[in-house]
Amino acid sequence: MEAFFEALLGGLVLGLIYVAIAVGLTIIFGTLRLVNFAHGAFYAIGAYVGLVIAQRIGVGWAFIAAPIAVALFAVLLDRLVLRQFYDKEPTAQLLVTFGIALVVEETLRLIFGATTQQYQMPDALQGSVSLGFFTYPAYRLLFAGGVILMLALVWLFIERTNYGLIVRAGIRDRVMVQLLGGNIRQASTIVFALGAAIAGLVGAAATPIYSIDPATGFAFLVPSFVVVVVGGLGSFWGAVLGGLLIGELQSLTNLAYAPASNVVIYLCMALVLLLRPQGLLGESEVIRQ
Amino acid sequence: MTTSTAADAAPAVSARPSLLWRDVRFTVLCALGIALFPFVLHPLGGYSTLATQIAIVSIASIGFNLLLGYAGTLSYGHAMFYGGGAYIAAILMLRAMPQHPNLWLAVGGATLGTLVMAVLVGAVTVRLYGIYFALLTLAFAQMVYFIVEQAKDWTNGDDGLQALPNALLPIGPWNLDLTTHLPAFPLGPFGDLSDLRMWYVFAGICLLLVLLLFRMLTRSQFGEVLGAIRENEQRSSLIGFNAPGYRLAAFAISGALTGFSGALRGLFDGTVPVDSLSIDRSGSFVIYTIVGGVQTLFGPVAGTAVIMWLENVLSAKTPAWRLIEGLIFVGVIVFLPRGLATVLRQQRDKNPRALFVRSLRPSTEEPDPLLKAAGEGHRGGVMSIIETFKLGKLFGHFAAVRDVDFRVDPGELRAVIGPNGAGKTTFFNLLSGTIAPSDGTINYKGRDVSRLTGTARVHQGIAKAFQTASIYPDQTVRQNCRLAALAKVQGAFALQVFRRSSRLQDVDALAERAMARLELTGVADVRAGDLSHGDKKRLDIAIALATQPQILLLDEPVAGMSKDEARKTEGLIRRLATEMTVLVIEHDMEMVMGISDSITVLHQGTVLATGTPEQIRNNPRVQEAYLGGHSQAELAG
Amino acid sequence: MKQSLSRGRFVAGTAGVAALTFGGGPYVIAAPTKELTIGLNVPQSGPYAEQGADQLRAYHLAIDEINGKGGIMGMKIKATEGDDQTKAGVATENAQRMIERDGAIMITGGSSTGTAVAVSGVCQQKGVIFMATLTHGDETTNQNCHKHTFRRYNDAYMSAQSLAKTLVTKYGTGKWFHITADYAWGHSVYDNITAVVEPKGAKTIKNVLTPFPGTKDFSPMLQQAQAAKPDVLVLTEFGADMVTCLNQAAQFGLTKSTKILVPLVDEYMAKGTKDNFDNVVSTAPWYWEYHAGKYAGAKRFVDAFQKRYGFPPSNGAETAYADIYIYKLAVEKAGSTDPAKVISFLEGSKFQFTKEEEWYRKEDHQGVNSCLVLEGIPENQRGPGGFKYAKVLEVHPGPSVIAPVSSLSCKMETA
Repeated sequence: MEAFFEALLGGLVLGLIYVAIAVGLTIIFGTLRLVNFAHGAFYAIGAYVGLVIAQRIGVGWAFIAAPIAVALFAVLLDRLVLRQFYDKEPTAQLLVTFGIALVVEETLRLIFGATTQQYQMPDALQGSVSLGFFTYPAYRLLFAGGVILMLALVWLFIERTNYGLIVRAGIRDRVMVQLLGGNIRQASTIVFALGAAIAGLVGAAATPIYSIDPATGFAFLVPSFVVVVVGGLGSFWGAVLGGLLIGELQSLTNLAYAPASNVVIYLCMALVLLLRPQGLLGESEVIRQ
Repeated sequence: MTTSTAADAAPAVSARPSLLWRDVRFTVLCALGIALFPFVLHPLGGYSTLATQIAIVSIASIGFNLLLGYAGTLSYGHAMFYGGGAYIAAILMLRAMPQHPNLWLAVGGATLGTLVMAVLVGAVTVRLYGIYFALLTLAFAQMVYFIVEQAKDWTNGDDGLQALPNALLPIGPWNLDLTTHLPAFPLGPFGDLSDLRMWYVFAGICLLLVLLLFRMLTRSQFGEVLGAIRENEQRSSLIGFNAPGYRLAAFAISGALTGFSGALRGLFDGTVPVDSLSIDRSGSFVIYTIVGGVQTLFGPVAGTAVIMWLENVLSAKTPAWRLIEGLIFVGVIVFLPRGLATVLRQQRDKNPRALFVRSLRPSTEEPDPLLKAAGEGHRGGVMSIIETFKLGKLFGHFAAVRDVDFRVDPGELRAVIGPNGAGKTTFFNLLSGTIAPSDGTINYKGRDVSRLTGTARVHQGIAKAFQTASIYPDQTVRQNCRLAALAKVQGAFALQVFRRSSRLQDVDALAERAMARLELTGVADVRAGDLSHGDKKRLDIAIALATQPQILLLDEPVAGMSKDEARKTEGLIRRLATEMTVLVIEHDMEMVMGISDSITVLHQGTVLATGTPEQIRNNPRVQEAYLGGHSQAELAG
Repeated sequence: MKQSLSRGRFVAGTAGVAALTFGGGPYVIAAPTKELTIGLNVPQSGPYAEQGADQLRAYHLAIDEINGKGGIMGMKIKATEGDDQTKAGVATENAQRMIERDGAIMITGGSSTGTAVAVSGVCQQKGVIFMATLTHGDETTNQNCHKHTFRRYNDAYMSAQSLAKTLVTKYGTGKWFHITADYAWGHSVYDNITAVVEPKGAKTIKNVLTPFPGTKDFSPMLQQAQAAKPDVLVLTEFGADMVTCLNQAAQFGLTKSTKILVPLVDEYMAKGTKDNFDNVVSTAPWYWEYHAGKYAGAKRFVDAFQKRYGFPPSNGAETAYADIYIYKLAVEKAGSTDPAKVISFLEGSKFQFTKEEEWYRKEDHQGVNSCLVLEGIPENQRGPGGFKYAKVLEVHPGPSVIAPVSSLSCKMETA
């Protein structure tokens, strides 16, 4: 019984990481029409920046430095390379971002080495918390809460601010927004940086749980793509639902029959693509320019 | 490939030896290149094992390129075939014939196995396009990877299969051991002949055969159609080619070639690592092919050779070699993006549903045999040619077309008019099969065709010309028409991988006739993309005509044309109407009133009125709906 | 056409620049007889990367020392390296490349039993000696033994025997819970431990397998362990995986509540787990502080390593160092690099370098040398860098803990 709840919570933690990465992916796709296979690189860079800052200065600073560093990197990448690919075919975007992901991973390997690294949370956050009939590590609960809070803030941004309005309108009709004078260029850059920063922050925050090595970014990216497909490209709540679903599916299958835990998520993705290709919460009749 | 018709009958005799000479020359040059390769590689830091591996993996790259370069489809899961082939071959060797390891059986079994796998996977994936297709192939490849990793009893899990027995190649009375070295023969700085083993000779022969096969395939009828589908899938479907079928065939051949390569590699190395199924492996084919050049025969080979050689040379010198590989890859894509654009053109369709369009259920009817246009569908038939009952189409909650009862008799020239947004194009799309109806039925010649695919309807005799001319811009005008004629002559799908379409004389005749009817013979050899707007529109009609339709749907055929051109085209359409039924959507009232036998007015998705031009002109409801009260003078035109 | 021209130039140009920058050009293919190439096939990435790095340091130390004194029979040792990524497929490719392209006549290294077995097979096929360093699973010298392969490191049987003998009096009848890495080595260790302790009365509550490689999160297993409240918790993980697992176990409070056994340890794992390693019991074939205090050869090695790198060597480094010297000795005594002669020497001779006198068994080429049982000491007592990580509970001589020949399933080739 404890094992079941443990798996449930573990699936929540894992699922929230997927959600964070998938939300970034999906809002970037929604506004920029960019398929970003390099999104895992944002996670990885955030994790390493967080690692270095946490070891040198302090854990708190790591959580501030990581998303900022990643956002800067993202904007730079956008200006230098990705901008030319906004209007290109999605598969061209997939290829160039795949190449960028490879370059980033290898650069990280050269800088930080290939060993798996981790930093510890301060002692106050170590240890377990009693949840009735079983205990669970405190930091993981804190992590889950933090990610949920962050996602709520992102949602507020999209739903309640002017930039967010442009973002949502842009998902529906990009050209029209431009014609109506909305500064979609600026909003797009902000959205891209935001999506990247979310991934970077989660990368830094998740490292005490999952450790980091140069391949971790890509390792989280592929299931996140599964999440985006399952939830629906361009849908915020789709990313949330998809992420939690996939995280729980993976965790519970691991408990029930471990060898199948990786296969099921791809099986899920295949089924969605075949039966409902727009995803669970994606809109099928959205008219896009 | 613009062969004219009658004029070249004579030179064809003397042309054949030169074609044969070109084939022989190609074969000899390839063989020479393959033979010299390992010796050229030697002073550059290569060694015979590397040369053999390059030769083997090139086969997989060529297979991958069939899909990417020629079918315009990116697969991110080809490792499932490469690794799959390797595992099947290895398992066959270890379990089925441990005492008498036979290379033919192992490799043959693996190729067959991956072919089956490719057909099964392809059957579900080819419905999707672009990135969704790529992601679905990735999903399948990952499933295979994790299943193989966990099936430790069969595959040894993460450690992979090892210590495979030496495969013997029975040829006639001999049993050839491919690990034997060639006789010694020093070649100075290029090493020694004995550096090579019989494995390289075998791999080289395989590569040569694959190159020849591929060359033949891309020039064959099958290859021609595949290229047409890549260039403009929408058009190809609506001249009668079974696009998903072709893509499935390309996927299957591609998968089988890759599996063949994987099997050879596994048996050569003597081990099969689980990495042969990984995402990185799938990605490597993408890298080799793109760096080498898609849509070329030797591109994938060159790309494989360069990257694999670089990996080997650089990995000894610097730990940054994978970084360099990544930078080269990004560089190729960033600086030479047009190379990709021409390949991935089909994704440029703005229709979001094109991202994941699913074909309707295929037709169970046989396509009509070759019909001569004259004599069919002219006036006087009692039965209607097209009839719709309560036809409707919903987009979300918006009813673009509702409750349409429509009937046209054979040989009529019916104009369909109405204000913007009346649902005219949607109606045509329902008739042509581009979209499926939400309600109601469509009868063609008395039979219900509502569920028939657009492709099948073309073969039944319903052809359409688009509002925005949909042509093959990189082909000549003649070739555009030939493709449509080819679809008619060969049917929706023909696996003619060996022969060229030029042997089908009917195709040329049909194409010539279609061009003549639309007065395009003068520009027959011009690249279609270079035509004027008006010529492109006429070409679109000629393409539809070349499929020998009984009913022709023309969506705003003179839109954007100058007045003179419009009048000329009008005349051509009127002449066409003497031989077949023609439905025209038009805004040009002068033309509509001038040439139509009858007119149907659509308004807000329903039929407002049907009648002769005179009746429609005087119909007050039509005036009100259409013109909002403007003077009749405009109608009288 | 234009694109393919410029693309061709771009790619060719880059490739050419890369090749020239990194010293492409005519290779010296036929190695002159003045040189002897050894292939170092170690993990430089993945969970055992730190162990691999330390092995490389030791290899280079040994090679430089030997070359400084004229090499082996007048031939300088040339090293070629490869990263096996702890993957059997990659390790095999590396070995093949080192033998074919670089002309290696001896391969050494290893990171896991999986890679060792794979490389062992290749070396047997190519007739090249393989001195396996970091492989602990029994198979390397049991089911998968080969004529050309020699393994000096303790195997899982020896560790289990040593652990059991030292601990069983205290914990023998207790409840044992196992968390085991799911691959050949993990199973080997688990089988050996339970085979020893269960007959003495220990009760195995459960054995939870962790997918290898790639388990980053051990909490599901640790959760189960915590709920089971065992007397002894055995964490059969190695390298970075063990570090992660033990640190996560601390989060569950297990390091304080249960006696933890880590069947095989090295200095880096202890460092990575810091205070969580306190009171953890483990085995190792060598421990610098202990052996430098007892054997002159060990002290020389430790001092030289410390001088060159600034910190003492781990037990993986020691076996790497020793393997090079043992090979040198064998070649010199055999009078040639001919593998058959080298094998023949190694099968029948004793030698001493960094430990007590030791030898290889002729039946399976398993090194016969001692196994130490260690217990972690508090972090604040570990000195600079945390390398002085344990105290020695007991030293078991090789012959007393090695698997008896009669139990072997090794069928060694004749050549």
